[in-house]
Amino acid sequence: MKTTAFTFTFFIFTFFLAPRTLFAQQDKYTKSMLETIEKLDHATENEATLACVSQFERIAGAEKNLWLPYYYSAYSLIMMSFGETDGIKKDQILDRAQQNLDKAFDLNPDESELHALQAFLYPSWVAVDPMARGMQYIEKMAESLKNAKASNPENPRALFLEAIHTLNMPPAMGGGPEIAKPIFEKADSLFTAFHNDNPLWPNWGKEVNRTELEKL
Amino acid sequence: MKTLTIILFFLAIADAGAQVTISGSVTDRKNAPIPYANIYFRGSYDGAITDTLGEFSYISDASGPQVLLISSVGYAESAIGLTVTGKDTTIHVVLEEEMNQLNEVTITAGVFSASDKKKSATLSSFDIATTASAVGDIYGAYATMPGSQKVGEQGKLFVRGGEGYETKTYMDGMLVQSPYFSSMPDIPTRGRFSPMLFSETVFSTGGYSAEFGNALSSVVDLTTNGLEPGDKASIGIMTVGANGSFSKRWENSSLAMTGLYANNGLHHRLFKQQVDWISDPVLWDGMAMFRQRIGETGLLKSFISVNANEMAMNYDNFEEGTMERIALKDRALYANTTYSGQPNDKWLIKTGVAYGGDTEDMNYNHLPVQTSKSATTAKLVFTHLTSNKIKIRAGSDMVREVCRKSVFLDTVMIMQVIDIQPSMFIESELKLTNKLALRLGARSEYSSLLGELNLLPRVSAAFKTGEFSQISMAWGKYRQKPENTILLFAPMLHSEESDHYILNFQYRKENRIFRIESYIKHYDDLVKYDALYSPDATTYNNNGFGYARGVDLFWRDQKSLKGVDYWISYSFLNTARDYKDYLESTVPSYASAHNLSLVYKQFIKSLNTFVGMTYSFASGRPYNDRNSEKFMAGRTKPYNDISLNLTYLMKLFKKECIVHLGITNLFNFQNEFGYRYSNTPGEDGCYASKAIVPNAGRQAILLFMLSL
Repeated sequence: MKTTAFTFTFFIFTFFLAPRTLFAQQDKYTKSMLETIEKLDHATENEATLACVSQFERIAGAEKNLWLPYYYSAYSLIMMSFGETDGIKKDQILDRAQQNLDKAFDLNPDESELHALQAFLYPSWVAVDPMARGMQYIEKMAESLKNAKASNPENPRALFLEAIHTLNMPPAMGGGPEIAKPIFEKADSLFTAFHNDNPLWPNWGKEVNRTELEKL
Repeated sequence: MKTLTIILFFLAIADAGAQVTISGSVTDRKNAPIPYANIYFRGSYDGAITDTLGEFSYISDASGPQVLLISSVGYAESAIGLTVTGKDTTIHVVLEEEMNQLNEVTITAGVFSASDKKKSATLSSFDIATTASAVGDIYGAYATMPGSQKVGEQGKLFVRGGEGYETKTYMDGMLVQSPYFSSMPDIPTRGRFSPMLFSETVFSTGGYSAEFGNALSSVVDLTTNGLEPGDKASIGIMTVGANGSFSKRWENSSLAMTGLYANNGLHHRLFKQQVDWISDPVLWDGMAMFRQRIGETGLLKSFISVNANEMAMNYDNFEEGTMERIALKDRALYANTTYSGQPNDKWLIKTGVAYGGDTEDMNYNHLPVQTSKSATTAKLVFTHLTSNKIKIRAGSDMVREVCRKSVFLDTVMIMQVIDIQPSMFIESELKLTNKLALRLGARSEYSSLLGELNLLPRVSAAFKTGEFSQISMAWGKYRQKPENTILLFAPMLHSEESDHYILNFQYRKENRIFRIESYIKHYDDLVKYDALYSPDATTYNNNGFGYARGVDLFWRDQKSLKGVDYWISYSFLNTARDYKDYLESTVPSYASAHNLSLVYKQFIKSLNTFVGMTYSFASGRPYNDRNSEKFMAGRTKPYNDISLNLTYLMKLFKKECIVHLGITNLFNFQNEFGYRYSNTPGEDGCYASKAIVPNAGRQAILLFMLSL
């Protein structure tokens, strides 16, 4: 009887507890990421955004081998940088974003979303000192967009960023609204077709793309 | 039942971990709160950020020994060991400011750096390439910086009362013996290298590092570009020639090559020349740059440049009252290979070899004179990163110079000097506090030809007076051997000496920078002679001396006017020296008391055009008026120049295309650099004179470049 009780207890432990803690761990990551992404969507002030950035950085540090937390912390910082007018502070934000993005690249050097995110960082970076950075900016954007499309031609974000970049290029350099419009349209169809099983996969850009397309 | 209770009990414990509240505050050393700092236990998801008062509080389910991490941008991360016992914990954390480029104190006395990366730099390589009056010449661009003089008929950099040869050029730390093209009397020269080759240039107006030597006034330290970012090719057509370039990038290496053919023929027909050209200047130039990453941190850079130029003119030798046919053929080669790497956390190594050779064939009225110079260098520098407050560099280099002059009379007369110059230096950079930086160095230089060993100290320091401002000072002793072309005749001369005292104040906030710098230079042992290139060695000595004092002001604003970048630089110079064949100590002919440059740049988006404009002013320069009893009594009229450049970007056949128009002396100011006097007086006893003027008035260059 005693042994049966012990075995029974042990069985419950292993059956209920162990897998449950395992599931809890998996859940914990996804759950935490989803919560923080949700908070980021609703963040209106820097303090709230920085709270999310810090949360992503903590998750990244705890998990060690996952690139998505670094992706989101960089993404949050880039979004935040658009609201910063002081060049020095903007560079500080972008430096932190680049550090996080570099850590993500270390873990996953060919990921299309990371190259697209790099292309998302550059416009903010060039805004700090357009005179000095303008020439390099054109080269760097071209390189990142090329890499993003090569790794995943169906990545809607890569095409969206290409459309914005083309829109802002002067017509004499092959840019402007007429040339950009078909790119926005293609990006729109890619956004509609886009699907990824991972609920944490980057999913931004569809609305912004539509808004820009409507303006043209 | 009991078993079930026990099971439930275990489940309950397993589910509900012990929870504690971690709270507290984060401040800097001065007790000011640090907002938005990230606080969490290592490996944990949970944590918090500090609010605007630097305070935080959160609930953690950690237990046992943990490491609490506190991090914030601009500060060094802090790690604190804690044992969580189930009791709420309050902690106050002080973070140390991190030394980074944004807030660090940097020694700026006597230094102007142009860098694409360093945030402490004042200019970028793009700035140099687009400065209107410079027409793409690095030294021309630096001539718009404070501390430089306008010496239009020479085209070299003259710094703070010093002669043109008092500025030396280094590329990736290796000496470049002939950085300028060879030229002829009154024909200004320019630098051999395009500014686009360099990601960083540091122009010192005095007080330069112990790593460099043999320059009495200043050093231009050029750092070549690293790996090319990608594959590129382009061709260019100009009113003065054509060029082509391509670059190829592999995973860890890259190769870039350029070729240039320049011919001033068309240019001379479009713009009336004051010079009587027999054959227009023609230049052939080729360059290759190879980069290879080695291991994680190593980079091998190899650079080679070859050029050949020739020209001939009828030179009006006004002193003798004759016309002379002068022809020049110049061929030069410069090759430089360096390796830099970081073998471990604490050590950096940089080493290189370089060779520069240049042969100049001049023909004076059918008398051929050939001057050939070469310099072979090897260098090794170690840097020890002792801590994030102490850095020590030490190194050694060896230069072997050969200078040979051959005069082809009925028999050939050849003179040659060979000089072997080993030197060593040690320098430490100390960040005593966040606000105070100190650099101490010493250099020893030996010259086999002069038989001299010199020990030269260097000290510089910088102190941050406020968040955006700092004071910096520099002092040092410098020696420079006389030019080899003089040592050919008088090898027993010894080196010239200068010492500098520099004090500067700099204010830099957002995109504006203000600098004021004052300096005192003493010169001693300057070379004096009765006549240049006199074969009588007894007529040369080191009895010359001099001084230079002044104040330089610089203001750059990239913020106030939208899309506009401008800078103003003003230099005041008070100098006198007794050197060369001067009869007494007086203001030298290249020095003007006031120099002003106003540089303006703007990108006009609607026209897709970069516009650049430069206004340069220099007060009158001294010259020796033979009709006056007093030596060097004459003063030229002031120098004025307004230069403009326009760069239009467009796409042609879907490829990027640039059209560039550069106009110098837009308003055709009639400038003069000095006067020449006839050696024989006229009938009235007066000596006739003729002004030394620029080769042409208003000139323009049109360039069209297409990416392939």
